[in-house]
Amino acid sequence: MDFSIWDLFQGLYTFTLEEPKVAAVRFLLITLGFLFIYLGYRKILDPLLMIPMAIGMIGVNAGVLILDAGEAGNLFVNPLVSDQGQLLDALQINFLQPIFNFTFSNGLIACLVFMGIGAITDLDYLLARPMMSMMIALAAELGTILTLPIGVAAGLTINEAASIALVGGADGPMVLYGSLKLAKDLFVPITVVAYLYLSLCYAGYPYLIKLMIPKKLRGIPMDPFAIPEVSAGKKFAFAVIAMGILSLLFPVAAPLFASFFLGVAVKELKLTRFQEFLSGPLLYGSTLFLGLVLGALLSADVILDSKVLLLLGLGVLALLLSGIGGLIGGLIYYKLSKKKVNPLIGIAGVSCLPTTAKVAQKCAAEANVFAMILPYAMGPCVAGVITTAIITGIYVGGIPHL
Amino acid sequence: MVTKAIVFAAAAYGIALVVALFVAAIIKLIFFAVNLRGGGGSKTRPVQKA
Repeated sequence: MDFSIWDLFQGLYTFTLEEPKVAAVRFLLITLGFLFIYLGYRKILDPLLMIPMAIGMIGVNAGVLILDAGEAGNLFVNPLVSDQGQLLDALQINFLQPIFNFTFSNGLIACLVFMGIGAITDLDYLLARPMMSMMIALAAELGTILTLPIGVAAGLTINEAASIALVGGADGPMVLYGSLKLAKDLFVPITVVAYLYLSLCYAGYPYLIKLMIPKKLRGIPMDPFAIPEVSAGKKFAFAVIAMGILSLLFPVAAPLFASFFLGVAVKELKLTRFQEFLSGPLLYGSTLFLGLVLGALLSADVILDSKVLLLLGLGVLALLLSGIGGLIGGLIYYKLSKKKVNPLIGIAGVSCLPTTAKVAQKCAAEANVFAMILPYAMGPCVAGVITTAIITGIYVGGIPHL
Repeated sequence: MVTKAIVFAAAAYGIALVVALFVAAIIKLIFFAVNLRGGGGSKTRPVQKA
């Protein structure tokens, strides 16, 4: 009988079979997974995404076994399989393979998340102050624009640079969608970097705000009752007209526009059953599987790509530049409004709905407990989703033709 | 390639600016059309007394 005790404990045994570098990275990713779980548990990182992602990371890197062909592998997902016969096998063996192939590789998961986001989005202030909201949101796309040439100068291809630049738009589904269309080989590290940094926005942006905006300006109060009430009919009309026109202009991003504005339309039409489904089971179910599959895709061979370190740096840079751009936009509107607008609403233009709006409110309340700017900040925050989708459409549609 | 990326990024920003202005104009147009119809107009929220 040819039996070894190691046949029972293949997760440990495979550590001895792999190259030391791969084994070390596997160990590092398992440790990192436990760290993410701790940070999610302490609410330092967003637990809704980080807990499933970390579970996936630990599972896929710990659960390595010897497959029939004698190679090391796992029973989670194989993103590299392309041959039809192998794909059929993988779909029957790897438990996350159907979710990856039927919802990730075609961008469906990003659209499902967007439907849910649309169903919880309040358009009131965007519609009441459209020009200001759109201009601030556009200023907060500075990172999305500048990181593209910086990434190319740093050695990435223009497709890869555009994908990582989309992190500056601070919308996870958009980064996922853009990187799948532009740089499929790097979509896992790019999307993981994006979601990791987006969950750190709430902790990081207040430092940037305190660095750029004096306390006196941070505490400027804005009357929340002065915002004009916008009827549901206008919001519904805007949703369907904007969806049609933006889809006409940018067909490559039409699935994103359709998904987002479908959620908005359902909310404004008060289709309660649909709204409950989109904003509850669909949004949270998609977020759960998004995190789990992303974590499971984060195996040692993905991290060993030499470009990952560069992506980590460019991701931070994109978000930093967007934050600076947004705050500059806020300061410009502070001047234009004769010092009535709190410049902190600029940071909300970065989007990451609704995190940056909450950051603006948190920093304003720290400077002046009577400063209530959240309803105002929601305008640029929602506009940020639209401007990021526009830029995603331009990148995905234009870059392949360069 | 860097020059090409700079030109493309600048053009992308310009196009995004035009489209953003266009979206803002659509919103204004919807407000104008709905108000002209005499329905669903905007009003300031009632001030709540402390």
